[in-house]
Amino acid sequence: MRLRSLSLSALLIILVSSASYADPRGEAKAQVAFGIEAAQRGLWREATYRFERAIAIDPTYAPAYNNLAVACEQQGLIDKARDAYETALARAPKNELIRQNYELFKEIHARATGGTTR
Amino acid sequence: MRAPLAALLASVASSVLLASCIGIYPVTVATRMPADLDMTPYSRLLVAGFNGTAIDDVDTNAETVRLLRSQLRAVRSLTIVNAAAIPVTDMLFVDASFWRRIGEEYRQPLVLTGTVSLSTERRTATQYRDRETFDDEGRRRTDATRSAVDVETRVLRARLLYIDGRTGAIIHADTFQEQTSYAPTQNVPALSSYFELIGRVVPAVLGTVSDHSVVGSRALLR
Repeated sequence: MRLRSLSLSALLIILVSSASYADPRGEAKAQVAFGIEAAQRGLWREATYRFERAIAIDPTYAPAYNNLAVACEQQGLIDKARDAYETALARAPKNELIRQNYELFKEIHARATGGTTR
Repeated sequence: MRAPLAALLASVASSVLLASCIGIYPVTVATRMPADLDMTPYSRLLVAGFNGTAIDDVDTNAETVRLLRSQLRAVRSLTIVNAAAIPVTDMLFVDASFWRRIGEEYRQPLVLTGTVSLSTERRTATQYRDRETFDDEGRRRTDATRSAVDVETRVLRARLLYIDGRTGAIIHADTFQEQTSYAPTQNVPALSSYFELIGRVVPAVLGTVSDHSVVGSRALLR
């Protein structure tokens, strides 16, 4: 049932954004939109797949790297998350939301590896 | 009652709409964190006892032992040893032979001990208030006024030591200072302050001996 509604949403997003398929950015945005919906439903593996698709379509699209980083973080893929955050910031150095996500990630990871003292 | 609810729903709806318009989607991320200590050698944990001073007859040794034992029982991989709280002193913490004997008695557990003190400090804080005045022509003016107020601050200082029951050596230490302030007229019992403040320390203790999750918020972007 969940998968069915997700499939319908995917179809809807693809239909709505079909006009923007002419350019890679539009196609990447459609993949990211679907990935966000999957993530909001807790389907993080599907979300990861969609964010990776978006990156493959448009490697310059910073939000896709940011979202991939968040998805990797959720799945405990710490090194991959760090790489994705750093690429996102390299693509969009002035994006404060990406920077904030990365700072939170670093803070948590430093605690996990004993990098800070209590 | 309906109007505030409608306003709340409208506010939530507008927040969601705004988020989707500007392309920000907050999500919750749970990060799995390993225990700070390598717990593979230990299946038993002895909360031995705590040294320290307190106010208003709060027995920080007995209360801390009881609270930590009950909270640590949530860690399924550990057996929490039931024993009377040991009266400890600062000198005893570095007495490896004493802890080795305790270790032999309780079958080589990880031992948790240390110092927990609760104190009261009187401080003066600055309080800012807006004062409303009207001039001769009825125009309203708001002036910020500053005044000094006395506050009573309860401070919990804790140094927790984790001792290997096989060797008697301290293998990990954490230091905490937590505080909370009240107006002197509030007359909050010291025991209430103690539980409020030690409650902030408990998650760190659990995180030292067991794997746990840290939940945070991240923004997905479009």
